[in-house]
Formats: sequence, C-alpha cells, structure tokens
Amino acid sequence: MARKRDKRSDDSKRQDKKALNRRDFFRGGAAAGVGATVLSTSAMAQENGAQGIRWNYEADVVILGAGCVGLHAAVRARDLGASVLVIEQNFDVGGKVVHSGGWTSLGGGDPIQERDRMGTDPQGLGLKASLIKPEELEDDPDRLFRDMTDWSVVDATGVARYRYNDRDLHRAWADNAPKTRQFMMDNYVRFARIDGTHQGGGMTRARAARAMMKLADKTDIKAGTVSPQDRGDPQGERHSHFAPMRQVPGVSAESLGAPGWVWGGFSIARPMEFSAREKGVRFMLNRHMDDLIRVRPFSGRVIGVKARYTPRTHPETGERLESFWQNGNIDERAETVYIRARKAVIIATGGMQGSIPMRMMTDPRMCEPSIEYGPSALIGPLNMDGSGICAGMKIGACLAGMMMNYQHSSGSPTLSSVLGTRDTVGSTFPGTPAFLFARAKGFNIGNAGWEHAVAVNQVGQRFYNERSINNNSSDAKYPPGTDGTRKEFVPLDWRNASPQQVNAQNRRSAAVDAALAINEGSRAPDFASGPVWAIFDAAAVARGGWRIRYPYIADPPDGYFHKADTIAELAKKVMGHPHQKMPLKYLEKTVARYNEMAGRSKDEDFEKPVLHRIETPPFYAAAATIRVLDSYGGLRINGKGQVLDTQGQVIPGLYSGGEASGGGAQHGIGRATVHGYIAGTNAAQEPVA
Amino acid sequence: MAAKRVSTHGDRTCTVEVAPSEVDAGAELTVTVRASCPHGCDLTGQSVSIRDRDDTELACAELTTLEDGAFGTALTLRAPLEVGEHVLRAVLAAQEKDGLRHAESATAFSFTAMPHAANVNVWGLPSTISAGERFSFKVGIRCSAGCKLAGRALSITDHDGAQVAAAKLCDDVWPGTSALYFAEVEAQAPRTPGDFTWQVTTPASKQSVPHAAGSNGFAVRVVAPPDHEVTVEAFDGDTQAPIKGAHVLLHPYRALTDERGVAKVKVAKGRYTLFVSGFNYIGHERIIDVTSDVTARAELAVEREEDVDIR
Repeated sequence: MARKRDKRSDDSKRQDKKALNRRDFFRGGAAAGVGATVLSTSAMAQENGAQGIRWNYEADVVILGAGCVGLHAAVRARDLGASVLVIEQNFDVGGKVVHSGGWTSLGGGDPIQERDRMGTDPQGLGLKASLIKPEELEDDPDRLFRDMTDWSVVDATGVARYRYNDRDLHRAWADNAPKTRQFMMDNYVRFARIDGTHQGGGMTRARAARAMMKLADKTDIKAGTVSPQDRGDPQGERHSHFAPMRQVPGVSAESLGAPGWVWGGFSIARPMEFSAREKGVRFMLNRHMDDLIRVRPFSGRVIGVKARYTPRTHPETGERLESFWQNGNIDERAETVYIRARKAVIIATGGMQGSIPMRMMTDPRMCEPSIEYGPSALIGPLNMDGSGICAGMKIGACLAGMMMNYQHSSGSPTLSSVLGTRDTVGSTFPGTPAFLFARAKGFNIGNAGWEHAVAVNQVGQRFYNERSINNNSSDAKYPPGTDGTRKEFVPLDWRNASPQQVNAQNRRSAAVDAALAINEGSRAPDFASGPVWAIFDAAAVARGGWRIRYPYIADPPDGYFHKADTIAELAKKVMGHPHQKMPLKYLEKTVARYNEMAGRSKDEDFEKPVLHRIETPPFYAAAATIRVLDSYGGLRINGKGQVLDTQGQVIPGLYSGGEASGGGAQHGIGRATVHGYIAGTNAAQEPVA
Repeated sequence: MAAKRVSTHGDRTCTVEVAPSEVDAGAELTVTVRASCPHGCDLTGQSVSIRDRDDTELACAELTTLEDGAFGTALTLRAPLEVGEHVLRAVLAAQEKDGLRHAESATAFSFTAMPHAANVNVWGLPSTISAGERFSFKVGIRCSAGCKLAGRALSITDHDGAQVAAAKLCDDVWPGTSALYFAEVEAQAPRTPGDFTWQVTTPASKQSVPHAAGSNGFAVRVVAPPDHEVTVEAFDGDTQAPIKGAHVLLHPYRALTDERGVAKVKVAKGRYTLFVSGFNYIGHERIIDVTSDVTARAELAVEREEDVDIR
C-alpha cells in the first residue's frame, strides 16, 4: 500500500479559503503541506478485525473533539512534528470553550502571575495596574499541587472540593500549568490582569485571568484584535458566529485592567483554532467518532477510529451549517470512514451528561430527560454524549472519579433562574448559527426573582421554598473567606473542616432534590420527575421588568414559555413542552392556596418569606430547567494523559483529558487547556505503530 | 363470462375514541376510528362515515394506517349547540374487493356537549382597605371556548350574601389576553375590620350559545383606620443608592418604594415585622414597634448570584 509522507508546512493559508473536499485533500495532500495524509480513497472500507481494515485517512495523532482539550492537544502535537487530524461532531470548532467566558485558572508561577506580580505589561497590551497584591501572586507548582489536593477545604454546601483529586493527575497538572499558560500566549492568546481564581483552582493564590481581544476595525488574530462585527453586540442583543458567548454581568474589561478589550472564550478558541490551521492541523467537522479500533479487542495499541457523518443543518433551509473558518477542513461526506492513528488517539470528546444511561452511573435520578446538559442547545445533541468514554470502555478502559460530579456544583443538577429556554448555560443572542437550535436566550430572574413566582413540578405542585432555589451553588477557591471557607484559612488545617466550621457556613438548598423527587406524574419504570415550571403573573413581569419577548423567549414558540388568560388554560398549555407528559393537574389549586397564604403573608407549606399573589392576567409558565453543566467522572488517565485499563495498565496509543477523563473536581478551561497540552505533548512522542 | 366468486368475511371490528368526551357546545372534537377484519384484511382505503340519529352523514374519511399500526382514521367534528349527551354512529360501508366482501357495520359512540364554562378572576384589590372606605378592583371572565363576553353581567355579593356591587364586562379584552373580558368594580368596605370572603357571580346564559354560570370568591381585608405613618427608605448596601421598586411588607400593609427609594405606609399602631425586598438583593427583615410616625432605613445587601456560566 502506498503511503504518502507527511510534510510540515509553514504556509499559513488565508482563513477564508474554501474548504477542501475529499478529492482536493487527496490530490493536494503533501504538496499543499497538509498535516494529515490519505492512505486510501477506495470506496467504503471493509472491517474484518483490526488487521482487515482499509483506512480512509491517517495521521500521526487523531484527536476526537475540537473543543478546549482538542485544540490545545492539536497545536501542541503539531508543534512537536506530528501530523494531526481533528474530528468534531459539530459544524464548527470550539466546543464549549468558544461559548465560555474564557476565565483561565492556571498558576504555579505562570507567566501571567509573574507579569502581574511585577506589575508590568511586557506585551504592550495597555494594561492598568495589577489587581492583586504581589504576595498573593507568588506561586510555584508545589504550592499549586498542595492546593489542588488539600483535603481540608469544605465549601458552603458541605462539599470538599479538593479532597478526592487524583494525586498523580494533579501533580502533572500543577507542573504543566505554567508551561500551558506560555503555550497559549505563544499561540496568540492574550490575558487581562489576574482577578481571582476560578472554580477548583486552589485556595491560597490568585490564578485566573480572562482571555481577551482588543476591539478594532478588523479582526486580526496575530495582532489580537476583533472587529465589532465579529465581536457581536450583546447590548444590541446580537452575538456573532466568531464570538457566540454569554455575558457575565458586572465584569467589564475596564475592571480587569484592560480598557478597550473584550473578553470571552472566543479569545481562546479562535486564536488556538487559527494557530492550529496555520500550522497545518486538519479538521474533519460534522463527524462523530463511534468506535476506537485497537489491535485486539482488549489488548495491543489503539490504531484508529471509526467515525460517521453527522452534519448539522439549518432547521429552516435544510442547508448544512459551515464552520467560521474552513481552510484546513476535510469535507468528507461518506457515511462512515476509518481513520488510522499512526501514533495515538486523543479522546477529547467532553463529558457524558448528555447520555442518560451514563449519567445515571453517578446519579440514578438523572433519568429525567428534560435535564439539560452543558451548552447542548448550542453544540448539538451529540455534545457531551459520553461517546469517548463509552468507546474507551468498549476496549477495556477504566473509569475514575464518577462521584466527583458531586464534588462540584457545576457537575451536579441545579435549578436555573434563567427561564423560558432550554439553553440555560450559553445565554446566546441571535447572530450565531448555534442560536438556531437554542431558539431563545432565556430571561434571568435571579435568585430574588423567585420571590415573585412559584416553582411547580410536572403536576403543578410546589415542592420547595422558591427563594432558596439557587442556594446550592458554591465554590471553594481563593480568596479564603468566600463561599463558606474560613477567612483565617491555613492549608491542610483540620479546622477548615471542623464540624463547627462546616455547620456554621452550611447553606445548601435541597430544592433541586425536591424537584427531582417522584411525584404523581412519575411513571414506571424510571419514575422520572418531569420538567419544572415557574408560574407568575403580569404584575410580576411589571415589577421585575422581565423581558418576555424575542430573543429572550422563542418566536415562534418552542414549548418552553407559555402565556394564558387564566391559570386553568395555562395548566393545559404546558403540554407544548417536549418533555411535559400531562397538564399541570394541580396548578389551579396550588395558585389558589398560594394566593390565600399571600393574603396572610404566611407560607405554611414551604416558609417562603415574602409571597405575592399571582392574580393579574395574563399568566405565564416558563420552563425552569434543571441543568448539569460539567462532567467530572470519566476515563481514568495518568499524569501523562494516557488512558488506563481496568488492571491499571496503560492502553498503548490512547490519551484523554478534560471532561472525557475523571479523577479531578476541577472546572473548566484550566483543566482542559493543561490536559490538552499534556496529551498533545506525549501523544506526539509515541512511536509510530 | 364466468361469474365472479365472492367470499363474505365476518363483521369488521370497530372501536371509536372521542376526545374530549365532554366538549364545549359548538366546539371541535376528534373522533378516532380503528377497524380490523377477523381475517386480517388490509382495510386501507375503506370508508368510514359518522352519522347522527337521523342517519345524516356528519363526516367521512378513508381508513389509513395509524401510528400504532392499526387501520383507522381521525375525524374532526363540531359538537352541537344543544347541551347534553349525543349518540352518533361510525359506519363502515359495505365493501367488495378482490373477491372478498365486507358487510356494513356500525358502532355507536357518544359524547357530552357542555355549556361553556366561565372562568372568573379577581385582581387589583388593595392589600388593606380601611373600614367603610370605597375601593375598586377588577373582575375578568373568560369563556372556556373564548367567546366574546362583552356586556355580560356580574354581581358582587358580600360575606352575608348581600349584593354590594354590579357591573357589565367591557367591550375590550384585558391587555395581553386573548379573550379575558373585564370590568372595573367599585364597592364599599364593611364598617368593621376583619377578613371577609366576597363572591363574584355571573349568571348562566342561554342565548345562541349556552354558557354556564360562573363564580369565584375573593378575600377582602378590612382594617381599622391607620394611626401612624411608617416611612421606609431602601438603599443599596454597596453603593448607598436608593432602590426604586423595592417591596415593603408590614403585614398586612404593602407598598413599593419610589424613585427616592422611599415608601410611606399608613398603619395601625402595633408591632410589625418589616420586610424589604428587591430584585437582585437579599431581603431585609427586622421587627419594628410603631407607636408614632417612624422612619426605617433598610440597607439591602446585593445578592451575588453564583455565576453559572462556563467561563
């Protein structure tokens, strides 16, 4: 079989270049300096055990998922000379990180900590003075490792955030965090001043900075600028394909010491994507990995993957959606392709909260289908579907840290105060193709807004003091004294976890547990609890100034928001929700009793402190979706990012990281970037199989 | 030419489901007919007719294959305006095809036409009303079938059953609703303090479309004339800026703060729990004794919502 050799290229192609189709890719191949080559373009490959597979594509490193882990792994492996092919189920690159706020918590004495400790601005970004005292930026990997495994930290919900973290994994994470920061900066990512530490980033030092780009006339990744058009206009209720992110209220670039800049996950995802494409990483979008291929079912190297075509189409026109940039894309539309990995496969597919059977491994109550996970409304139903974890299990991989979903508030179910949309995470405006699927941004009533609404289950019964609905979110991190931690914090001190300390600060709400309880509408075999609804009236809307209009609610309606002349009518209208199985049978009684108690200013059922009568028409029902943001259980990996089997042995040629992996209750971008960096480093150095 | 040989099959089985089984007079209902042949014949294309007691055809359709795999069809009928039970028949016509004959068969089914219900709603009552004071509130009535109710009469009776007010519904629907007709009603409070339950009633109507009577109770809280004025000033705990629209509760008295963050509440003397709440703030609660006019300052702590984003 003829083999075309890879050839690195420094030829940076224009970002608006037309996507390559399969034939172009084959014909252009090495001559165009692409990073992956084709062994065979024959018709459908035949599967006859691993030895009989006719590969359609091959590359040194095959990466499954173009999110935060995948992008960092891809660029790193490519930097080390490997040809890299990234497969992504969605139509675009960026996964969750492009929809995020870009707050990157690393540390260990990373270059941004050092920059801010010195109060300098070596890149000439126009930064103002540092926001954190120098002594609280002085850090090193040993301190970071100690922080990340500090058994004693307990937060305001009684959760020990760091206690269960895998030691090998976090030693490696701490050692690689400073290098990863530099690596990101080397690939066009700019950071604002450090302004704290993100969830799970440790107690004793400030370590998180937001990635940002400067508003300018045109988008220039190398210069770090973004045009107003590419930035979008959140104040004008418009996002963009380039920057489809939600806004975090109250955090201005000015307050981050970076006037004139805008921050967000796009400031990581787009620069890393640009760099990857510039360096010759190839992307095969609209393709979902279904199976890993190992030499033998439970032994030998992992040598490739089987992947199927999964285009996402415009819901109205039916046209296939395309990525923001397309140079370096392989436009392969065959139903199934087999892709050989000469050195390694990296599973960067994200978590498993989108798979009901898999998320039930952590919590059997998660059988409820209306639970939303991650930004699934934006990235698609195959996002966080557990396929990477499942594929690993099928070839003998072990799992780790499945209970860690409950060591982090964003891994356990919570009730959202963002109402009227299935997208309770992204909060995205129109302007990005992803909005076509979210349909509505939702309107956020905040914790206090629940004073003006009742929350009912699928049969229309209240289940908790609405004013406490959101009190089960917490996050032990720097600075000490917040989120229920001791202000006089001493690392590893037992007093941090003394009964007195824990009892004094505990404020956990069980509202979501009550919402997930069996109710009269629950049916065998799962006895699922059904959707949750916020019920309120026109007077509440007026008092709160709630924006119950497009794009905050869907137009045409999508079943997540309803309006009616009467409560009785409203009780029937909720049937438009895709997961609502019955009218809100008890809603009229519930509202009548609530109004009666409001007249007496005494909630005898749930002790809500202030009640407002729900009486002024029209009346509203808005879905108050139960959501799970992250996954913290997954494939067991070691400090090199290698996937381990059930005997604790390395599965040769298989790596993972981020939410596809388990062993750490660490949130978000800090976890994913370093995991990608580690996996990319080690995968590129594997021998050719 | 040889005579065509025809076999006669047994009666086809027919089941009929009606939804809803109780329907507003004149409103639509769905009749789902399922049919099967004991010999397993394909019944696709055979016709079914819905007929009344006079054998007048009300609707007809051809059988298709339903989602559950059965042969059947769903027909939409309009219920008669005559209230009560109505018995109809689903008739499968005689049919001969490919030498097989199916005889005509019929299945009776029934539904009940109901007078349109009146859903009565009351809102806009003051949280407290001084004894003997005149006060106003709104009454809205919606027909279950969305009929126009402009001009419909309603009356208000007090806790003793005495009529204390009467009104007719306006020509327009209440803003934001599709068919809620409303009236602004004025009445006089009882002369003695207390909690009373009054009643709104609207009589049945048998004009072109039958409408049932409707009623609803509502609470009237009558208090003694106030003795003192409580001035509540609501401020943001971080910025000290006044909070407009904060809700002030001195049960049973309620008010909202103005642009200056001030609410004035006239209350009877006594001990109260003052509760001040605002959007994005943690509620402020304390006990106050009102023995004279008093000013209470409430600094509300900003409720820092846990950031749920995926930053």
